[in-house]
Amino acid sequence: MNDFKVLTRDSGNAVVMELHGFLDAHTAPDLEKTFSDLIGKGKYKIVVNFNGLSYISSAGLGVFMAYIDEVRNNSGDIKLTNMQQKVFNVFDLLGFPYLYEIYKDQDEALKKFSDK
Amino acid sequence: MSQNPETSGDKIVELTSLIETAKILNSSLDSSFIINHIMLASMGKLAISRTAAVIRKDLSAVEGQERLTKIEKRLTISDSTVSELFSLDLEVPVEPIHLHHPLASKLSDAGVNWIFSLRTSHRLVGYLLVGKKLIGGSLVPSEIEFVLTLCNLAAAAIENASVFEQYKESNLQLQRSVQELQTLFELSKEFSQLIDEPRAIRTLEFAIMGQTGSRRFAICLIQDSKAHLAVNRIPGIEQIELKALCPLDQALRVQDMGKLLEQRPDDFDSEKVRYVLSLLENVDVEVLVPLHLQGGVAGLLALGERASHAGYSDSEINFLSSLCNLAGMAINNARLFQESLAKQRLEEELNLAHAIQEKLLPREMPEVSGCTVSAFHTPSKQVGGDYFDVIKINDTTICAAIADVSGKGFPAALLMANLQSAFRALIGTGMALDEIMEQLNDIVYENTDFDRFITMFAMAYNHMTRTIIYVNAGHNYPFLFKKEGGVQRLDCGGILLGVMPNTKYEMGHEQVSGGEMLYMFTDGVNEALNSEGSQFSDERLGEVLAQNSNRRADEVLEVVRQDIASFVKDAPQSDDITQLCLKFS
Repeated sequence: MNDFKVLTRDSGNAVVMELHGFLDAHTAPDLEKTFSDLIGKGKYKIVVNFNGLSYISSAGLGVFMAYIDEVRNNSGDIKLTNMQQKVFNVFDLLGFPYLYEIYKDQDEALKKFSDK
Repeated sequence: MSQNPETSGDKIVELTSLIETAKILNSSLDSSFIINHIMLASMGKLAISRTAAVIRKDLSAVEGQERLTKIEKRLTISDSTVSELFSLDLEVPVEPIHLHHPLASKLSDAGVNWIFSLRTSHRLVGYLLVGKKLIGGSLVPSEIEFVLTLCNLAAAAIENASVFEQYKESNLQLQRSVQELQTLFELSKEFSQLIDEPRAIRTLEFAIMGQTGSRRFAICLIQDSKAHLAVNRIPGIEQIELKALCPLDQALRVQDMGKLLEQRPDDFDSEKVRYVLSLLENVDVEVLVPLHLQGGVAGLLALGERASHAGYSDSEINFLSSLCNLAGMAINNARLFQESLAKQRLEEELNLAHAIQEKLLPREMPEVSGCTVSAFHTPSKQVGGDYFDVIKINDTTICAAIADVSGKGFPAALLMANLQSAFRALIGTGMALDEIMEQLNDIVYENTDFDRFITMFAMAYNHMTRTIIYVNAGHNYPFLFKKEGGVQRLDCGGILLGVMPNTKYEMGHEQVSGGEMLYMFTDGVNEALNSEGSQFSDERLGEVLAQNSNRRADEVLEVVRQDIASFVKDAPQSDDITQLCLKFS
């Protein structure tokens, strides 16, 4: 079984979520729980750092879709950063760059939140 | 052969510019850039202020269609003119006036002076339309030749670009198909491990959102012929009766549903479906995908508009269809698992109830002087309603009772337990048997519905007086075998317990002497069925008892048991069998 881990920490007015390992249908519930916990605490400015993520499947991508409306309705956003090429290719293939802001670097995304 | 030096110089400039253009065009794979370049080149070279171009990309390998691109530089051409132009399929450069076609005046009015076709060896790629020169006048032959050469170069370059785009597009589509297959593979693995319906639905949601990028959808599931929205991401859809669409057995676009209704009018309630469809269009539902459960269609995925507004392709609809099939199987499995879990729990409880009930019956017979008591009880598989009790009142008095609660299962078992505690409590008070029976009748009447009742026989034997007193409340008449050979059936009493309130019971009295025997039983004995469906019967019971009435109490019960066994053979036991025998000494 492939492992998946998610760590969160506050950074200024935003939260950084670090993903590690494999994100697929089997591990999607872990990420889902992290999102729903954050939203439950009223944290809507979320930067997801993909640096440690080596694989993502469609079902994994689906988790981001499940929360984006609620986050944006509360004047927040989910910004994605530091993707490995292989992971970015999946996002790109499924047309996600159209729906999400994707940055090379985590600080860039954090700056976007603090500029507002 | 004389040559005009000026003309030859011009030719060289022209040639250089053409070579340069060829280089630029061939290095580009962007057809808009290519066409833009030759438009600017001809405008600059020939001092023309207005041009327009339209190119046709052949993407048949990918989409089975063509894609048109129109670029206008101060020359406006309508789309209908463009398609008419393509149907003309012009080969050589021509002025509109020489077209001999209604299009001629339209093109002239728009300001078109010359029409150039962009052709490769096998197809018409597009047209370049040029206006008048700034200094006025039409193009001279050498200028026409120049533009024609540009057009030929461009046509080849555009064809190249188009092939490249086709390749890029098919490659993208291939990658998408691979991704779809990967998703299906991953989910079939994941779904096969799931035994939890909400989890299966959540996984389906993620897969839909991840693969199609759609956030607007709803999933309606039918269970026990009731529809409920398991997922609702389309505001307003909860008002719509999706169940009417559930005979749908293939995925399709909402716009194609009308056609299906015409083809299969019997499968749908057309009027209702049309109404539902109109409502679905109001909330922008585009695609419907059925979920198959337990062989039939028992659910529906309704997909709304995508954030990008892009429609759903056939291959996406196929993918969703496979995905929903997998999810349907997973939901089905989860439901079956829950069902078997519930059944297992129920069986465990039933076994427990059975064990408790058995413990309510006496296991050891009390000893009193002047009589031996034997009991035999075989419960049927289910918890049943037979009850018997033997209670020692004092050294010379013994009390016995036998009863049959109507029905089987938990209700009968509960009522039997209730009867047992009431009887034991009442016996302890020293009340007379007829009064006890009256009390029991009222208790049972109050505690049950009219269709539940109990037949009961209760007796007490006093060895000092050698008398039996008894009350029979609608129970099978016990046999009393007398010493002189006769047999008496003890029928004195009243009606069944629990049918009518405030009923009086009559008490029966019998005198007994040594060697006589009282045999009590429930209907599991005389109504024991063999495989032909005939009953053991009261008569046969009476005969076997008469033949063995001189035996010990326990022997009598064993003889009857064996006789029943040889009668029913391998037919399953349908009811509790209870026998109680008192032998007087």
